[in-house]
Amino acid sequence: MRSLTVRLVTLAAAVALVLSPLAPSAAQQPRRGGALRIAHIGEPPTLDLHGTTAAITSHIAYNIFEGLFALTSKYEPRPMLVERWTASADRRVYTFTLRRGVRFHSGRELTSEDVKLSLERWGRMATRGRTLFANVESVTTPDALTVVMRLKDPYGLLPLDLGLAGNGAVIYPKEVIEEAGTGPIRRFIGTGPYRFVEHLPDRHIRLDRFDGYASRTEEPDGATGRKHAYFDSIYIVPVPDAAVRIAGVQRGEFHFAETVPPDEYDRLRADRNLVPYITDTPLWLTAVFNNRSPLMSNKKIRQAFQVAVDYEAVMRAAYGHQRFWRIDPGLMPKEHYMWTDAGKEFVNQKNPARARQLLQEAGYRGQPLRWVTTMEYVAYGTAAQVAKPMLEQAGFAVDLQVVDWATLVQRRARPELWDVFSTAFSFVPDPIFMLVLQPSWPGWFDNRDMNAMMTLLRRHADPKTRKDIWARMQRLWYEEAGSIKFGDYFLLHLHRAELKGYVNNPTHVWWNAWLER
Amino acid sequence: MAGYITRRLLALAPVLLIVATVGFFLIYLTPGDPAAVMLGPDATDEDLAALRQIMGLDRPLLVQLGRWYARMLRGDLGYSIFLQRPVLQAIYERLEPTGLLTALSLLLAIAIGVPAGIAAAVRRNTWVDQASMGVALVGVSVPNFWLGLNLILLFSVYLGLFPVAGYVPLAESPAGTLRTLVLPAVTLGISASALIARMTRSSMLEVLGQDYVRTARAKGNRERRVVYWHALRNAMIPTVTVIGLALGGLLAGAVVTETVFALPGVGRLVISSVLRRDYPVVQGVLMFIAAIYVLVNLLIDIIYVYLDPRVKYA
Repeated sequence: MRSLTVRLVTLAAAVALVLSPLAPSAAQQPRRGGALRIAHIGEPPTLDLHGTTAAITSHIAYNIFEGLFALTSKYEPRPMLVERWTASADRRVYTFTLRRGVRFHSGRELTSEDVKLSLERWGRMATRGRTLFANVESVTTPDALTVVMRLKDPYGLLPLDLGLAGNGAVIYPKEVIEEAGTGPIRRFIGTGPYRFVEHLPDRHIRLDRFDGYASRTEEPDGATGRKHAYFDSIYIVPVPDAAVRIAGVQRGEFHFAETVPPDEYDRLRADRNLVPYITDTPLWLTAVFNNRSPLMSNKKIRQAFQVAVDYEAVMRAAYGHQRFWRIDPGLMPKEHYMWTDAGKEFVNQKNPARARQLLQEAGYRGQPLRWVTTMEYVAYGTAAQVAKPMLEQAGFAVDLQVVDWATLVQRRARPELWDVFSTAFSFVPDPIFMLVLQPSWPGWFDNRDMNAMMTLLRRHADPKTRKDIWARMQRLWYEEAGSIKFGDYFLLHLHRAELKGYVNNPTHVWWNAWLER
Repeated sequence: MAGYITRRLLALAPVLLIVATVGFFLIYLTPGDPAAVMLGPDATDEDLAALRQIMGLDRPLLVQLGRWYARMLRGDLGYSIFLQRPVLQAIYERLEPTGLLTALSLLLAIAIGVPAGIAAAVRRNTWVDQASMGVALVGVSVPNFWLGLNLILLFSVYLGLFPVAGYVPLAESPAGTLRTLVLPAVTLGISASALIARMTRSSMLEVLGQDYVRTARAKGNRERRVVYWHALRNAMIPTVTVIGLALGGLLAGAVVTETVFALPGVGRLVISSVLRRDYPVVQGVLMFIAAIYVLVNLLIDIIYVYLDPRVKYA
């Protein structure tokens, strides 16, 4: 009888918990203070967000710098430094009014002049920035809080473009940009909730709370809304060995470990002090085809590759635990409003007989397929090794070249050196940002119909129209076997249970997180 | 003696010139470039070309080599592409952890290796000999990174005695420095101690068979005095040579150990600079390590004089 009471009480408590997941409790009250210690995979190549697409740079720099817009957890742009904005009906003139009273870490107030110079610098340096600025007629500053961007052709996605964190259009003070000239910036002064204190290479990067931060007031969502810096300091410590990063979090020396191997998931989950954190936004593993090489410019040979490989086997070997990968035809992630499964019949066909036939039709005579890959990102190399025998079974002669990442990046720029290379694509909030679809990017997928549809996609703002265009583009990409998408994968991070309020969507968000005592 | 040392120091110049040239070509023959690493995985070809031009990487090879020699003559090892500071300064900043780590592991290696070698020689073919040489064999064979990770697991994660990774500078807290260096020093010291133990054993065995040792025993000296006074000093010459070589090995091992334990030392600097193709730093550190090697060898030659009065350098 007593045991029944206990069970009923427990059940009632459980129901109450389930029904009120957002009810504030003592344990949920954010606490100010303490130093967050992050074990990261290495050193950022630079902290200048305009100058690199490296994810580690945005992880750190996005605490320091802010852009005009930021993205929600649903990848939609919302104003950040902008108070309000308008677009002309033809989407060629955008007017941004800045928030009043936003201060840089140097103490000076943000003005339209800072924004103009920052956007123009980003337009010279960043890959996305250059694409955008090819279409910019002028950036003007009618007064201290107003910025007007005039475009040559209509463009529907300007706020999204300006709100993306990676290689982001963040705002630096005018004087920092002027002293940098054509080189990288030398002082890291932003408007973000944390300010840069020091960078001791291979020891740490230290950020401190910026007491003069002017926060927005909306509810936080993704990287948008209210930002509150609870930590006194954040230390980002480079710890190259994944096993040591895990040990450091287990031991309490670090609160957070960036990217740990998925194989450890079950073991880490069992420890009550630890929280294995699986990111919501996937990346995709790919084999990029060289559309300028004699071999891969032949559509039938590309298709033979597409048909020959068992994608599931590749993904399992590369990422192990089923929780961390999935086979999905969408080049945009399933979680995104632009997702479509157009062309799904081309995915994961694992049909060596058909591949053999395609090779025969293509007149393939056993020329070596030069596949450049790397073990620096273990999954890339593993995937290539698993796919190699499948291709050989279909009749390919595979020359697998395993090099370090820096070598791969240099080699892929020269079309005469390779046929296939391994890489992964990180999330982009819209297909127009997809590198593999740009004719100028290594792989050089240059298809007339695709390029025409891309122009349409950039122009249109109506979601329904855009989605239809995109579905046709994705289908074409599969029909042409532009390159291979093996599958989506999710990163695993690890943090201690006392770190609360941390989210990773669409990137690491350290503001609004705190350490429970 | 002073003349000898001067001549040896002058001989440093051609050695460094050879190292500089070989190092230069080794690095330039390695594919990959810093611009690619710096700009990130999604950079376009035009971005890469522009940055290469800014960095001077698009100049002809011989022009770059000539500039490298010219800079060296001025004692300027160049400017790090990534660290945004002179290479010499970058090395200088990393000297403390590496210097302390090397010294500590060398002390440890000697403290373990020499007594173990002596014990094995004096009680040769007993269990003492077999046990210490067996352990030495394991010590030489175990890879540094594996030993390091297991020490972390046992002493940091399970027992909580030492920090997992990172470094506390001497100026902040000497006790903290020691705590961060114990595990890496053990990791490095063990393989070096094995080498020293084996060398001490074999040279002790040789010396213990000499006539003068028999004479010393015949004079009625106690065994302890025979071993430590008569035999050991003579047996030390080859051992000291090995200790010098071991120091080179420790510097090489520091590359792996510092990476595992996340110590901000010279070894870590080499690894990260190679991976990001920071040419000036890699070349600078090569020169620096070559100079250390030559100087350590010189030091050992000088120590010989004190160990063996018959050795004279004219």
